[in-house]
Amino acid sequence: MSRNTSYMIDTIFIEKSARNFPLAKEVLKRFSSAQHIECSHYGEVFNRHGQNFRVQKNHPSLILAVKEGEFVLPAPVEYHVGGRHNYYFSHMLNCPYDCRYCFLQGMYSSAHYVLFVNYEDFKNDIANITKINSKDPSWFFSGYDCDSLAFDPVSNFVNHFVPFIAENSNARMELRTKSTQIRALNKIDVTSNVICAFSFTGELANRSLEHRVPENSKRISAMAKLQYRGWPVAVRFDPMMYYQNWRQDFSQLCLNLFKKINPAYLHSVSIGAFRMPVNYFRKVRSLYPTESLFVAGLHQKNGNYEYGLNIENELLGEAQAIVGQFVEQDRIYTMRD
Amino acid sequence: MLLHFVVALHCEAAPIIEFYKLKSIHNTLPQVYRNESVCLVVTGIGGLACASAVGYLAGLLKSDKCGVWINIGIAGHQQFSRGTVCLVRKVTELATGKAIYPSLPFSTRIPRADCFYVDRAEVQFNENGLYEMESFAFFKAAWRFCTIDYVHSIKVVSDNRLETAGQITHSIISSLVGSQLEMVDRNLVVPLCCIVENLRSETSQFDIELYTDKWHFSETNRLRLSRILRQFAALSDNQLPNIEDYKHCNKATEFLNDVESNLQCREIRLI
Ligand code: SF4
Repeated sequence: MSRNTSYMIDTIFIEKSARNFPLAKEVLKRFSSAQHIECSHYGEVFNRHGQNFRVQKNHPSLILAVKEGEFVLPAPVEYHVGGRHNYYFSHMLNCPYDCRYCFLQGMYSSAHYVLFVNYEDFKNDIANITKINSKDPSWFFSGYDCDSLAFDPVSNFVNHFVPFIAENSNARMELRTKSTQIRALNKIDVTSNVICAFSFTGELANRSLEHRVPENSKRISAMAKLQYRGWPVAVRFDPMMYYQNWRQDFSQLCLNLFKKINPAYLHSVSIGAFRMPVNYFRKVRSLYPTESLFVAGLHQKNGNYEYGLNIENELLGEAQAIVGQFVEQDRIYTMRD
Repeated sequence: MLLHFVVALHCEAAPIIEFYKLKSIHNTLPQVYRNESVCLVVTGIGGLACASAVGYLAGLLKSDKCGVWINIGIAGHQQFSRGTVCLVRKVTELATGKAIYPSLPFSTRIPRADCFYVDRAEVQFNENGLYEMESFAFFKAAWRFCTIDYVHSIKVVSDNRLETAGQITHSIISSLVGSQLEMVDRNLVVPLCCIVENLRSETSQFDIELYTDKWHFSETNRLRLSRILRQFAALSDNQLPNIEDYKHCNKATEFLNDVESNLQCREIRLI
C-alpha cells in the first residue's frame, strides 16, 4: 500500500448552496479538471445505504457541502486533557488515510470526503461558546471525524482557524493528526492556544494497520520541527493495540520519539486502548472478514468491543510506566472506563 | 453471477450477446442470456419494464450483493455526435426533479455525462445532458440487489438535434453499441469485476461439512460458523479448528462459543 497521500480527486460533488462560498470556489479551481457534479444535499451521496466503504476508500470523491444544525458539540470524555469545557467540531468527514482500526469505517456508509465550506459558522459558534464559558478556557478538538491536518493543502483549515483561535484568549484548540502536513503551521505565527497533537502507534502497528499514514520517523521529525519553532505539541497513544511484542514495539517508539521531542515542553500525553462501539465494529469486521485485529482478545462490554480487563490493564499500565520514564506523570492522561 | 447486463432492446443486446458469448435461457420472459459468469436481460422500453426485469433477473439467478450490474443503451443529446459513448454520472428524473448519483470506485477514460430520465422519446433536448427512458429506474431497482458502487449505466448517443431518432435503424443501433463494447469492457467492466472478485475471494466459503456433519447448525449459526472459521484461519495460518479438540461439545452453539473464546485468548501477530 502506498504511503503517499494523494489528492488525486477526479470527482467533486457540490451542494448547490455551497457553490458560492470562497472555499468551494478555491477547491473547484484547484481541481478544475475533475468532474463537478451538482447535488442538492450531501446526504444524497454520502448517507445512502448499500455503499461499500472499503471499495470507496481506494478512490474517494470529494463532496463540498454547507454544514447545518449544530456546529460545535460536547467532546467525548476520552478527549479531555485537563480542560473544564471540552467540545469538538468537524469541518470535514473522513480522511485520506486508511487505518484498519478507524471507527469512521463503521460510522459512515461512505468513504467519500465531505468538506464543509461554511467555516464562518463554525467560528461563530466557537466564539459564542467561549463567551458563555468566560471564566475558564474552552477546548475545541478538531480531529474527531477526520484528521485535522492531512487534508490541509486542500481545506486550508490551519490558515482559517489557527489565527482565529489565537485572537481569542479564552479558546484552546487541539489539532489531532497522523500527517506531516505542517507547511501552513510553519508559515504562521506560533500561538500557545493551539496544541498540535500527533497520534502514534508502534512501528509494527504503523506499518501493518495504518495504511497510507506517513512513517513514524517522518511524523516525529515534523513534530520536532513544530516544537523547535515553539508550537505546543502533544502525543496521543490512542488507540493502543495489543499484539505480539507490542511492549518492545512501544518502548522503541518512545525511545525514538523522546530522542527528538523534548518532554519538558510537551503539553500532554494521552493513552487509550482500542475500543469501538458494537455496531461500528460489526460493520468494520464485515468489511475486512480476514483481519485478525478484529478477533483476538476483544470482548463486548458497555456497548463497545474492547479488550478484556487483563489486557487493558496490561496495555495501559505498562504504557504509562514506559512513558513515565520520559514524561512527568501529571502530564500523562490514561483513558480507563 | 458476477456480471449482469440490462438492456432495453434486442438490437442493443445483440452485440453484447456476441461479445460475451451468451446463450439464451429458454422459456423466460423477459428474455435472458447467460454464460458461466455473465448474464443479460432484455427488458423492453421504459422504466417500469426495466425495473421489473432487474427484479426478475436477480430472482432467477439468485444474485448476491456482490454482483456488477450494467445498463447499456442508446440515448439522445443536444449536441453530442452519434456514436459518442458516456458513463452516466448523475440521473435526474425530469418529471420530479429527483436525482441519483452513481458511485465510481476508480478513474475511467470513458467520458462522463449527466442524464435525464424521461417517460417518452425526446426531440427538443432542452437540457445539456443525455436523454433516455430506463436508467433512473434501473439504478433504483439494481441498488436493491447489490452494492451501489457496482451499478453503472453506459449510454451511446444515437440521436441529436440534427440526426433525429426517426432516421435510425436496428442495425445502426447494434453497430453503435457494438463499436464501443471493447472500450467499455476494458474501462468499466473489467475494473469493476476485478474489485468484486478480489473481495469475493476473501469471503469464499470454507468447507463446513466437517462441522455440520457433527453438529446441527441453524441458519444463523451457519453464518456465525463461516465468520468464526474465517477468523480462526486468519489467526492460524489458514488452519481450521481441529474437530478432535472440540469433541466434548454437545451442541453447535457450545462448539462456536468454545472456538470464539479460544480466539479471544490469542495474541495477533503483526508483520
Ligand atoms: S488517521 Fe485517524 S481519521 Fe484517518 S483513517 Fe486513521 S484513524 Fe481514521
